Amino acid sequence: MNLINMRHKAHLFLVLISTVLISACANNQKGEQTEQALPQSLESSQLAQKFKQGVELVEQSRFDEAKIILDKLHQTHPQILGPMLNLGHISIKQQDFEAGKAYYLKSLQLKPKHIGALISLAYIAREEGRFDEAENYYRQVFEIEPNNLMALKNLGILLDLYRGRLRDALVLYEQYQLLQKQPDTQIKDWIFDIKSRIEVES
Amino acid sequence: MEAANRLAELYELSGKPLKRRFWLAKQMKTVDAAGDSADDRMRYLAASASSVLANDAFIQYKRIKLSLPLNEAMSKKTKALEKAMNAFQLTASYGVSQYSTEAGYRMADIYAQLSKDLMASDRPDGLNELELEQYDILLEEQTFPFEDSAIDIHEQNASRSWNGIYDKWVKNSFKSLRKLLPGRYAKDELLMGVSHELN
Repeated sequence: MNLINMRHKAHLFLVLISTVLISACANNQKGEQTEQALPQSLESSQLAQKFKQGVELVEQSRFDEAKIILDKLHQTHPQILGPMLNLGHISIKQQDFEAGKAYYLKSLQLKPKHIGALISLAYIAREEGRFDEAENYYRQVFEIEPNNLMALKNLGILLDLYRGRLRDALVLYEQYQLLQKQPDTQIKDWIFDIKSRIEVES
Repeated sequence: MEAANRLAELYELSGKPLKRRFWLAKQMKTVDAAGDSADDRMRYLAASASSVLANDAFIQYKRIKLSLPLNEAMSKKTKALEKAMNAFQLTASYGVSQYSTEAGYRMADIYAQLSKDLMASDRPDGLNELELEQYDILLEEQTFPFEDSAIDIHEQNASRSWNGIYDKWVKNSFKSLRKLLPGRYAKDELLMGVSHELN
Protein backbone atom coordinates (compact mmCIF):
# COMPACT_ATOMS: atom_id res chain seq x y z
CA MET A 1 0.00 0.00 0.00
CA ASN A 2 2.79 2.29 1.01
CA LEU A 3 4.58 1.33 -2.09
CA ILE A 4 1.49 2.17 -4.18
CA ASN A 5 1.18 5.51 -2.38
CA MET A 6 4.81 6.23 -2.92
CA ARG A 7 4.49 5.42 -6.64
CA HIS A 8 1.35 7.56 -6.90
CA LYS A 9 3.09 10.46 -5.16
CA ALA A 10 6.11 10.05 -7.37
CA HIS A 11 3.88 10.01 -10.45
CA LEU A 12 2.03 13.15 -9.27
CA PHE A 13 5.36 14.82 -8.58
CA LEU A 14 6.59 13.98 -12.07
CA VAL A 15 3.38 15.28 -13.66
CA LEU A 16 3.67 18.46 -11.60
CA ILE A 17 7.31 18.97 -12.51
CA SER A 18 6.54 18.33 -16.22
CA THR A 19 3.65 20.83 -16.15
CA VAL A 20 5.81 23.45 -14.48
CA LEU A 21 8.61 22.85 -16.94
CA ILE A 22 6.32 22.96 -20.01
CA SER A 23 4.64 26.09 -18.73
CA ALA A 24 8.02 27.71 -18.06
CA CYS A 25 9.17 26.84 -21.56
CA ALA A 26 5.99 28.25 -23.07
CA ASN A 27 6.38 31.47 -21.09
CA ASN A 28 9.99 31.69 -22.16
CA GLN A 29 9.01 31.24 -25.83
CA LYS A 30 6.42 34.01 -25.48
CA GLY A 31 9.08 36.21 -23.95
CA GLU A 32 11.48 35.57 -26.83
CA GLN A 33 8.75 36.30 -29.34
CA THR A 34 8.02 39.64 -27.71
CA GLU A 35 11.69 40.53 -27.64
CA GLN A 36 12.06 39.71 -31.40
CA ALA A 37 8.81 41.33 -32.53
CA LEU A 38 9.65 44.73 -31.13
CA PRO A 39 12.72 45.53 -33.28
CA GLN A 40 11.10 44.00 -36.39
CA SER A 41 8.08 46.28 -36.19
CA LEU A 42 10.33 49.22 -35.44
CA GLU A 43 12.49 48.33 -38.39
CA SER A 44 9.53 47.96 -40.74
CA SER A 45 8.08 51.29 -39.69
CA GLN A 46 11.45 52.94 -40.24
CA LEU A 47 11.68 51.21 -43.61
CA ALA A 48 8.22 52.45 -44.61
CA GLN A 49 9.11 55.94 -43.44
CA LYS A 50 12.34 56.02 -45.43
CA PHE A 51 10.58 54.63 -48.50
CA LYS A 52 7.90 57.30 -48.22
CA GLN A 53 10.60 59.94 -47.98
CA GLY A 54 12.28 58.56 -51.10
CA VAL A 55 8.99 58.48 -53.01
CA GLU A 56 8.24 62.09 -52.07
CA LEU A 57 11.63 63.16 -53.39
CA VAL A 58 10.99 61.30 -56.68
CA GLU A 59 7.66 63.08 -56.98
CA GLN A 60 9.43 66.39 -56.51
CA SER A 61 11.91 65.36 -59.26
CA ARG A 62 14.74 65.54 -56.69
CA PHE A 63 16.15 62.41 -58.24
CA ASP A 64 19.71 62.47 -56.91
CA GLU A 65 18.54 62.81 -53.30
CA ALA A 66 15.86 60.17 -53.81
CA LYS A 67 18.42 57.85 -55.33
CA ILE A 68 20.60 57.95 -52.19
CA ILE A 69 17.70 56.94 -49.92
CA LEU A 70 16.20 54.34 -52.25
CA ASP A 71 19.55 52.83 -53.09
CA LYS A 72 20.33 52.38 -49.39
CA LEU A 73 16.95 50.68 -48.92
CA HIS A 74 17.61 48.49 -51.93
CA GLN A 75 21.03 47.47 -50.60
CA THR A 76 19.67 46.54 -47.16
CA HIS A 77 16.41 45.01 -48.42
CA PRO A 78 17.09 43.60 -51.89
CA GLN A 79 13.95 41.46 -51.66
CA ILE A 80 11.64 44.50 -51.57
CA LEU A 81 10.23 45.68 -54.89
CA GLY A 82 9.29 49.33 -54.19
CA PRO A 83 12.78 50.88 -54.00
CA MET A 84 13.88 48.91 -57.07
CA LEU A 85 10.94 50.07 -59.20
CA ASN A 86 11.48 53.69 -58.21
CA LEU A 87 15.19 53.46 -58.87
CA GLY A 88 14.26 52.18 -62.34
CA HIS A 89 11.86 55.08 -62.74
CA ILE A 90 14.60 57.58 -61.79
CA SER A 91 17.00 55.92 -64.24
CA ILE A 92 14.52 56.42 -67.09
CA LYS A 93 13.99 60.06 -66.10
CA GLN A 94 17.75 60.55 -66.07
CA GLN A 95 18.12 58.71 -69.39
CA ASP A 96 20.37 56.12 -67.75
CA PHE A 97 18.76 53.24 -69.59
CA GLU A 98 21.41 50.68 -68.70
CA ALA A 99 20.81 51.16 -64.96
CA GLY A 100 17.04 51.23 -65.53
CA LYS A 101 17.17 47.95 -67.39
CA ALA A 102 19.13 46.33 -64.54
CA TYR A 103 16.60 47.45 -61.89
CA TYR A 104 13.59 46.27 -63.88
CA LEU A 105 15.18 42.93 -64.71
CA LYS A 106 15.86 42.42 -60.99
CA SER A 107 12.22 43.37 -60.28
CA LEU A 108 11.09 40.68 -62.69
CA GLN A 109 13.19 38.13 -60.83
CA LEU A 110 11.12 38.91 -57.71
CA LYS A 111 7.82 39.20 -59.54
CA PRO A 112 8.01 37.76 -63.07
CA LYS A 113 4.60 39.07 -64.11
CA HIS A 114 5.06 42.65 -62.97
CA ILE A 115 3.37 44.64 -65.72
CA GLY A 116 5.04 47.92 -64.76
CA ALA A 117 8.50 46.39 -65.02
CA LEU A 118 7.65 44.78 -68.40
CA ILE A 119 6.32 48.05 -69.84
CA SER A 120 9.35 49.96 -68.57
CA LEU A 121 11.70 47.39 -70.10
CA ALA A 122 9.81 47.69 -73.39
CA TYR A 123 10.21 51.46 -73.30
CA ILE A 124 13.95 51.20 -72.61
CA ALA A 125 14.40 48.66 -75.41
CA ARG A 126 12.59 51.00 -77.80
CA GLU A 127 14.70 53.96 -76.70
CA GLU A 128 17.81 51.92 -77.40
CA GLY A 129 16.59 50.73 -80.79
CA ARG A 130 16.01 47.09 -79.78
CA PHE A 131 12.58 47.08 -81.35
CA ASP A 132 11.96 43.32 -81.48
CA GLU A 133 12.79 43.07 -77.78
CA ALA A 134 10.43 45.96 -77.01
CA GLU A 135 7.63 44.25 -78.92
CA ASN A 136 8.32 41.03 -77.07
CA TYR A 137 7.91 42.73 -73.67
CA TYR A 138 4.59 44.23 -74.74
CA ARG A 139 3.41 40.80 -75.95
CA GLN A 140 4.29 39.43 -72.49
CA VAL A 141 2.06 42.10 -70.95
CA PHE A 142 -0.83 41.00 -73.19
CA GLU A 143 -0.40 37.43 -71.98
CA ILE A 144 -1.01 38.70 -68.43
CA GLU A 145 -3.54 41.40 -69.27
CA PRO A 146 -4.81 41.32 -72.88
CA ASN A 147 -6.42 44.77 -72.72
CA ASN A 148 -3.66 46.64 -70.97
CA LEU A 149 -4.10 50.20 -72.23
CA MET A 150 -0.51 51.29 -71.80
CA ALA A 151 0.81 48.34 -73.77
CA LEU A 152 -1.82 48.79 -76.49
CA LYS A 153 -0.94 52.43 -77.04
CA ASN A 154 2.82 52.00 -76.69
CA LEU A 155 3.05 49.00 -78.99
CA GLY A 156 0.88 50.89 -81.47
CA ILE A 157 3.40 53.74 -81.47
CA LEU A 158 6.30 51.32 -81.77
CA LEU A 159 4.84 49.56 -84.80
CA ASP A 160 3.59 52.79 -86.37
CA LEU A 161 6.69 55.00 -86.14
CA TYR A 162 9.63 52.70 -85.60
CA ARG A 163 8.65 49.58 -87.51
CA GLY A 164 6.46 50.92 -90.30
CA ARG A 165 3.85 48.22 -89.62
CA LEU A 166 0.92 50.51 -90.12
CA ARG A 167 -1.85 47.91 -90.30
CA ASP A 168 -0.73 46.23 -87.07
CA ALA A 169 -0.50 49.61 -85.38
CA LEU A 170 -3.99 50.52 -86.55
CA VAL A 171 -5.45 47.37 -84.95
CA LEU A 172 -3.85 48.32 -81.61
CA TYR A 173 -4.95 51.96 -81.75
CA GLU A 174 -8.50 50.83 -82.57
CA GLN A 175 -8.49 48.32 -79.72
CA TYR A 176 -7.24 51.03 -77.37
CA GLN A 177 -10.00 53.35 -78.56
CA LEU A 178 -12.70 50.70 -78.08
CA LEU A 179 -11.69 50.31 -74.45
CA GLN A 180 -12.14 54.01 -73.68
CA LYS A 181 -15.31 55.23 -72.00
CA GLN A 182 -15.08 58.42 -74.03
CA PRO A 183 -13.24 58.29 -77.38
CA ASP A 184 -9.69 59.62 -77.06
CA THR A 185 -9.52 62.54 -79.54
CA GLN A 186 -5.76 62.20 -79.99
CA ILE A 187 -6.04 58.51 -80.86
CA LYS A 188 -8.94 59.36 -83.16
CA ASP A 189 -6.60 61.67 -85.11
CA TRP A 190 -3.87 59.02 -85.18
CA ILE A 191 -6.33 56.47 -86.56
CA PHE A 192 -7.46 58.88 -89.24
CA ASP A 193 -3.86 59.67 -90.23
CA ILE A 194 -2.70 56.06 -90.26
CA LYS A 195 -5.69 55.03 -92.39
CA SER A 196 -4.83 57.70 -94.93
CA ARG A 197 -1.20 56.50 -95.03
CA ILE A 198 -2.32 52.91 -95.53
CA GLU A 199 -4.54 54.08 -98.39
CA VAL A 200 -1.61 55.89 -100.03
CA GLU A 201 0.57 52.78 -99.62
CA SER A 202 -1.96 50.50 -101.27
CA MET B 1 44.43 55.16 -99.25
CA GLU B 2 45.62 54.41 -95.70
CA ALA B 3 48.58 56.74 -96.16
CA ALA B 4 46.27 59.55 -97.29
CA ASN B 5 44.09 58.89 -94.27
CA ARG B 6 47.10 58.97 -91.95
CA LEU B 7 48.29 62.25 -93.44
CA ALA B 8 44.81 63.77 -93.03
CA GLU B 9 44.85 62.68 -89.37
CA LEU B 10 48.31 64.15 -88.81
CA TYR B 11 47.32 67.48 -90.38
CA GLU B 12 44.22 67.55 -88.20
CA LEU B 13 46.36 67.03 -85.11
CA SER B 14 48.84 69.70 -86.17
CA GLY B 15 46.05 72.19 -86.88
CA LYS B 16 46.49 72.51 -90.66
CA PRO B 17 42.93 72.33 -91.98
CA LEU B 18 43.67 73.08 -95.63
CA LYS B 19 46.28 70.35 -95.93
CA ARG B 20 43.94 67.99 -94.09
CA ARG B 21 41.18 68.70 -96.59
CA PHE B 22 43.54 68.09 -99.51
CA TRP B 23 44.18 64.56 -98.24
CA LEU B 24 40.51 63.99 -97.44
CA ALA B 25 39.59 64.90 -101.02
CA LYS B 26 42.38 62.61 -102.24
CA GLN B 27 40.79 59.66 -100.43
CA MET B 28 37.45 60.37 -102.07
CA LYS B 29 39.05 60.60 -105.52
CA THR B 30 40.79 57.27 -105.00
CA VAL B 31 37.53 55.53 -104.10
CA ASP B 32 35.59 57.24 -106.89
CA ALA B 33 38.22 56.06 -109.37
CA ALA B 34 38.20 52.52 -107.96
CA GLY B 35 34.44 52.17 -108.55
CA ASP B 36 33.13 48.72 -107.63
CA SER B 37 36.58 47.46 -106.75
CA ALA B 38 36.68 49.71 -103.65
CA ASP B 39 36.33 47.60 -100.53
CA ASP B 40 34.33 48.39 -97.36
CA ARG B 41 37.27 50.00 -95.59
CA MET B 42 37.96 52.29 -98.56
CA ARG B 43 34.31 53.30 -98.78
CA TYR B 44 34.22 53.94 -95.04
CA LEU B 45 37.24 56.24 -95.25
CA ALA B 46 35.82 58.04 -98.28
CA ALA B 47 32.44 58.52 -96.57
CA SER B 48 34.18 59.86 -93.47
CA ALA B 49 36.30 62.24 -95.57
CA SER B 50 33.29 63.31 -97.58
CA SER B 51 31.33 64.01 -94.41
CA VAL B 52 33.97 66.51 -93.23
CA LEU B 53 33.90 68.36 -96.56
CA ALA B 54 30.10 68.31 -96.68
CA ASN B 55 29.93 69.79 -93.19
CA ASP B 56 32.25 72.58 -94.36
CA ALA B 57 29.78 73.34 -97.16
CA PHE B 58 26.95 73.24 -94.63
CA ILE B 59 28.70 75.79 -92.40
CA GLN B 60 29.27 78.06 -95.42
CA TYR B 61 25.57 77.79 -96.24
CA LYS B 62 24.50 78.60 -92.69
CA ARG B 63 26.71 81.71 -92.58
CA ILE B 64 24.83 83.45 -95.40
CA LYS B 65 22.22 85.73 -93.86
CA LEU B 66 19.09 86.61 -95.75
CA SER B 67 19.49 90.37 -95.60
CA LEU B 68 18.12 92.94 -98.02
CA PRO B 69 17.99 92.96 -100.98
CA LEU B 70 16.48 89.54 -100.51
CA ASN B 71 16.80 88.42 -104.14
CA GLU B 72 20.55 88.88 -104.06
CA ALA B 73 20.98 87.17 -100.70
CA MET B 74 18.65 84.38 -101.75
CA SER B 75 20.68 83.74 -104.88
CA LYS B 76 23.87 83.33 -102.82
CA LYS B 77 22.07 81.18 -100.29
CA THR B 78 20.60 78.91 -103.00
CA LYS B 79 24.03 78.37 -104.56
CA ALA B 80 25.48 77.46 -101.16
CA LEU B 81 22.50 75.19 -100.56
CA GLU B 82 23.09 73.28 -103.80
CA LYS B 83 26.76 72.88 -102.99
CA ALA B 84 26.01 71.52 -99.52
CA MET B 85 23.25 69.24 -100.81
CA ASN B 86 25.53 67.79 -103.49
CA ALA B 87 28.24 67.23 -100.91
CA PHE B 88 25.91 65.35 -98.57
CA GLN B 89 24.46 63.32 -101.45
CA LEU B 90 28.00 62.26 -102.27
CA THR B 91 28.55 61.26 -98.63
CA ALA B 92 25.39 59.15 -98.70
CA SER B 93 26.42 57.56 -102.02
CA TYR B 94 29.27 55.65 -100.35
CA GLY B 95 26.61 53.55 -98.64
CA VAL B 96 28.12 53.64 -95.16
CA SER B 97 25.21 53.63 -92.72
CA GLN B 98 26.53 56.01 -90.06
CA TYR B 99 27.47 58.65 -92.63
CA SER B 100 24.36 58.13 -94.76
CA THR B 101 22.09 58.82 -91.78
CA GLU B 102 24.08 61.96 -90.95
CA ALA B 103 23.86 63.12 -94.56
CA GLY B 104 20.12 62.45 -94.57
CA TYR B 105 19.59 64.45 -91.40
CA ARG B 106 21.75 67.35 -92.63
CA MET B 107 20.03 67.55 -96.02
CA ALA B 108 16.63 67.74 -94.37
CA ASP B 109 17.95 70.27 -91.89
CA ILE B 110 19.25 72.49 -94.70
CA TYR B 111 15.73 72.83 -96.08
CA ALA B 112 14.18 73.29 -92.64
CA GLN B 113 16.75 75.96 -91.86
CA LEU B 114 16.08 77.78 -95.13
CA SER B 115 12.40 77.86 -94.32
CA LYS B 116 13.14 79.39 -90.89
CA ASP B 117 15.71 81.84 -92.32
CA LEU B 118 13.22 83.07 -94.90
CA MET B 119 10.64 83.81 -92.24
CA ALA B 120 13.27 85.57 -90.12
CA SER B 121 14.73 87.57 -93.05
CA ASP B 122 14.84 91.37 -93.04
CA ARG B 123 11.65 93.10 -94.07
CA PRO B 124 11.85 95.95 -96.64
CA ASP B 125 11.59 99.46 -95.22
CA GLY B 126 8.61 101.67 -95.86
CA LEU B 127 5.88 99.03 -95.86
CA ASN B 128 2.63 99.90 -94.16
CA GLU B 129 0.86 97.42 -91.89
CA LEU B 130 -1.22 95.88 -94.67
CA GLU B 131 1.74 95.60 -97.05
CA LEU B 132 3.83 94.04 -94.32
CA GLU B 133 1.11 91.47 -93.68
CA GLN B 134 0.93 90.65 -97.40
CA TYR B 135 4.72 90.38 -97.55
CA ASP B 136 4.66 87.92 -94.63
CA ILE B 137 2.01 85.81 -96.36
CA LEU B 138 4.12 85.79 -99.51
CA LEU B 139 7.18 84.70 -97.54
CA GLU B 140 5.18 81.99 -95.80
CA GLU B 141 4.07 80.62 -99.16
CA GLN B 142 7.71 80.53 -100.27
CA THR B 143 8.70 78.50 -97.22
CA PHE B 144 6.14 75.69 -97.69
CA PRO B 145 8.04 73.76 -100.39
CA PHE B 146 11.24 73.89 -98.32
CA GLU B 147 9.41 72.64 -95.24
CA ASP B 148 7.82 69.84 -97.29
CA SER B 149 11.24 68.82 -98.60
CA ALA B 150 12.62 68.83 -95.05
CA ILE B 151 9.75 66.58 -93.93
CA ASP B 152 10.22 64.19 -96.87
CA ILE B 153 13.94 63.75 -96.25
CA HIS B 154 13.56 63.43 -92.47
CA GLU B 155 10.85 60.82 -93.02
CA GLN B 156 13.16 58.84 -95.31
CA ASN B 157 15.88 59.02 -92.69
CA ALA B 158 13.54 58.08 -89.83
CA SER B 159 12.19 55.12 -91.79
CA ARG B 160 15.65 53.54 -91.60
CA SER B 161 14.52 52.42 -88.14
CA TRP B 162 12.16 50.01 -89.92
CA ASN B 163 15.30 48.11 -90.90
CA GLY B 164 16.77 48.35 -87.42
CA ILE B 165 18.97 51.41 -88.00
CA TYR B 166 18.46 53.75 -85.08
CA ASP B 167 21.57 55.86 -84.58
CA LYS B 168 21.97 59.45 -83.37
CA TRP B 169 20.99 60.92 -86.76
CA VAL B 170 17.87 58.80 -87.18
CA LYS B 171 16.85 59.81 -83.64
CA ASN B 172 17.49 63.46 -84.56
CA SER B 173 15.25 63.09 -87.61
CA PHE B 174 12.48 61.75 -85.34
CA LYS B 175 13.01 64.75 -83.03
CA SER B 176 12.77 67.19 -85.95
CA LEU B 177 9.64 65.48 -87.26
CA ARG B 178 7.98 65.92 -83.87
CA LYS B 179 8.12 69.67 -84.53
CA LEU B 180 7.58 69.66 -88.29
CA LEU B 181 4.72 67.15 -88.33
CA PRO B 182 3.48 66.81 -84.74
CA GLY B 183 0.18 65.14 -85.63
CA ARG B 184 2.10 62.13 -86.90
CA TYR B 185 5.32 62.14 -84.93
CA ALA B 186 4.67 63.77 -81.54
CA LYS B 187 3.48 60.49 -80.08
CA ASP B 188 4.56 59.84 -76.52
CA GLU B 189 4.46 56.42 -74.97
CA LEU B 190 2.74 56.05 -71.60
CA LEU B 191 5.22 55.45 -68.81
CA MET B 192 4.89 53.95 -65.37
CA GLY B 193 4.71 56.56 -62.65
CA VAL B 194 6.20 56.51 -59.17
CA SER B 195 5.59 53.30 -57.25
CA HIS B 196 3.97 53.98 -53.88
CA GLU B 197 3.84 50.36 -52.85
CA LEU B 198 6.75 49.19 -50.70
CA ASN B 199 6.38 45.65 -51.95
